[in-house]
Amino acid sequence: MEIIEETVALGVPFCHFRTLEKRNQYNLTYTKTATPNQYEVHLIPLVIHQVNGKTIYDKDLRPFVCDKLIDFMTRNECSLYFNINCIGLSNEFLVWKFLRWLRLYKEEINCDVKITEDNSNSIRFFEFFINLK
Amino acid sequence: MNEKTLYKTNDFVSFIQKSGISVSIDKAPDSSTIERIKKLIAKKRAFFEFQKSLFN
Repeated sequence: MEIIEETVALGVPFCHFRTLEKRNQYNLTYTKTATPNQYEVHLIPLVIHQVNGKTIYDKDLRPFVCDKLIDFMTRNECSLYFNINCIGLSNEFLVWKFLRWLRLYKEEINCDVKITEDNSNSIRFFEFFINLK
Repeated sequence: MNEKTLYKTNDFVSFIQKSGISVSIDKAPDSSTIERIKKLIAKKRAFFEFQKSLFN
């Protein structure tokens, strides 16, 4: 994984990186939430190359993202939060891979999930609360 | 909600429940909850677009 830039801009920590094989670029960004010691994490795909119309994720993306999140929680003594609305924003299906990855990667992760459903507003909203045990 | 989305999300809910993760489901959210979620969705969409615009 090639880190292009890792810094804090306007109070927002972020890591801009590029995968080695597929050369995809992502931004891993943390924004403070209204809850003390809690950051919302965003994995934003910036440049994604497709092969035969399909997005191929690099194998090294999983350990890199997991290590980054665990390191961030450890260094900042904080918890992480992220949400997904399953209607629209299809890119965010990528984000929920975090949970599968983290649970399989490190057993010291504690996670709670809150789901809100409302058919009239086409909402199926997942909220994830993650902290270290 | 379309069937594909429902299938994928139901499958995911089953997965996380089987993993021993605490899951709470609110199937009758009040109006303040809906408004909070709409604001979060709008904020995130704007944040994504802003971030992408910086790197394009």
